[in-house]
Amino acid sequence: MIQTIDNVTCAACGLICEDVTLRVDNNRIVRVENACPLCEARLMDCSFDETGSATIDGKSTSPSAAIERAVELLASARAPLICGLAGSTIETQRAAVALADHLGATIDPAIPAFHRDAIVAMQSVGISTCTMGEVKQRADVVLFWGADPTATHPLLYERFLDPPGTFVSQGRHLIAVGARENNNRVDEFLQIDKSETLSVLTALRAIIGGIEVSQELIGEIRFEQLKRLASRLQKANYSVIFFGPEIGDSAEIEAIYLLVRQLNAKSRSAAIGLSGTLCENVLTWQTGYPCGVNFALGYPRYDPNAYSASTLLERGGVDAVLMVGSKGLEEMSPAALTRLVKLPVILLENAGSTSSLNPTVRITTALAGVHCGGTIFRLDGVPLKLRALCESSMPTAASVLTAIQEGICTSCV
Amino acid sequence: MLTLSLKSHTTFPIELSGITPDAVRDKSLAELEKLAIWHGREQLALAELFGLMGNTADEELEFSGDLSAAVGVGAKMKSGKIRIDGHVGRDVGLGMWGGEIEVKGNAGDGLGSEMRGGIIRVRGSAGNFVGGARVGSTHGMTGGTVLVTGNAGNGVGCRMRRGLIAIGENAGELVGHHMLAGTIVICGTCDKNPGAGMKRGTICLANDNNAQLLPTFRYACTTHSPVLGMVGRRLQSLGFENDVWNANRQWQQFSGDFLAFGRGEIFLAG
Repeated sequence: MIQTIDNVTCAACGLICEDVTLRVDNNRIVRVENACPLCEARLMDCSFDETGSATIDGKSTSPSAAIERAVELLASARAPLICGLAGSTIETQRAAVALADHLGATIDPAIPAFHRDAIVAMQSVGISTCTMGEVKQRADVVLFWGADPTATHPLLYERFLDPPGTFVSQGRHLIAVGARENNNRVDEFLQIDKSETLSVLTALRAIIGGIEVSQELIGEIRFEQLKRLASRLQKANYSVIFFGPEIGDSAEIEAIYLLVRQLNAKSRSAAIGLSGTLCENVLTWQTGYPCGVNFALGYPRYDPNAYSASTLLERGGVDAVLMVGSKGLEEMSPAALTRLVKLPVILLENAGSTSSLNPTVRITTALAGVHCGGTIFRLDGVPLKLRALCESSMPTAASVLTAIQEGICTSCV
Repeated sequence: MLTLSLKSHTTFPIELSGITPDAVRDKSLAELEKLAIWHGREQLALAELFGLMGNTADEELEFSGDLSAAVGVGAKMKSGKIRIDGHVGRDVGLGMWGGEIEVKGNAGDGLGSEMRGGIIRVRGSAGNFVGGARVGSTHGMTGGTVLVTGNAGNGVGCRMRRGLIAIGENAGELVGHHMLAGTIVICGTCDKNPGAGMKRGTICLANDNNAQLLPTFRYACTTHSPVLGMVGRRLQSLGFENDVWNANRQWQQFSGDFLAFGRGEIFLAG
């Protein structure tokens, strides 16, 4: 008999939709409704009967033997690295930070390059931001800069932009700026040369600041077009700028934050990065730093560049890796991946996902929001609950991390 | 002079920030050999990683071997001299107050970042953020001199407040990003957006007449700029070969960044 589960929370992208409907037959998800392709890929065919598995060097073993091997690898490492954590729950991240602290390891969540730059930019110039609720109810001008939400956050329009906003009486005006037109749901598109993003943003800020600019063509945009864009932003009651992976470095994101600050002088404006679920909040409240944190000296030290997983791997500064979730592999540079496959790797992988990596130790863990509950941060920093849809005997990533930490404590005595 | 020879090559970080001529001056060789340093997450005696020879009475240290993994060589040093025979890792001379550091090979990121005084010479190339600020800091270097014979990476002099940086060849993008004051001389060319967000200070691109400046910089004049001649002669007196010293050279002067404060100047080859 097909069973229906309503109001399921999905953690496939940073939007965390809470109204997904699942049809379950014989303890397996057979249909995902009211969802985007990303959610479907995450939840479709997920089995509630999954018991989990563990392997050492590709051979099946018990979870306890796998944890024991993981303890050996990490305890004997001189410079261990804990990475991944993309899409992990607060509980998992908390356990990972505690383990990193205990081990003296480096911990670096797998955050997209532009989001790392956004963190650095925020530390340099500050940020004026808002929640998605404000976007829905108040934003009358929405600007996408170097972002393609139709691919990365498919339900953004349906959930937050298409519905009429309480304080948006005349409809929203949507604009996209980017290297190529891939977002056909906007009212206006401005094509720019990606390498000149900073020049364009600078010119836009100059226009709004009343500073004379003599160039006629800036980053493939005519000055007149930029003037119209500036005027549109200035006349808005509440403008929101979403930026995405096409943004090249922290200087460009700083320019976006400063532009928003300028706009706030006369009306309200906010900037939001279109990233995944936030995996830096726990690290920030535990250590004071959002990413690239090293505990080798017994206290946290921060360097978003030198202690990033990719840089450490590229430079050979790591001899054992604990990866929580395989999504982090997407954020690694090719050179780092080449190094990674030569190192002892402990991979805690969500049930249902299969990565191409052949780790030394692989432990399958419960998928948050299906086999176990947890709390997760939406891209605007709002924490939301994921609930367990079934009773599962599978270990959670947090429990495996805690078991590894306890194993290390025991081995030290 | 105290010579420290790296015994075997390592890629794990070696924290050398406490080993400065002034800090070890009063220590005997036996005491120094037992000095604890961090190698990855392990604390080792200095003698386990380095062979030590000589004495520290003259406040001179020489490191030999490939120190690409070393972190913070000469950090916060106040006086004396450190010579590094080969390549060295990041944060060399971080927050140093005085003295001299000489690197015969290449240096990593953060060379001379937040330094307050002293001089650093690199014969090879340097990484990103030469004389810059650490992430989240308001000020980069506030004094002293950094001379790099080869190339430098991105963000040379990022948020620098005072001091002199000279790069013998080319630099990456965002030279003098958010610079508050000070002088940067690039003898070759640089990548896009030099001077972005600069408030005051001087950037001289000695052999670049085609640099891509932001729209918030304005052409000011063509000048002989006697001040640049003085800077060039000062660099020559420090043994840094350059072609800026000639007071008869013509320069195109640009002012900016008008989005910040607009008192900065960029000189391009005339």
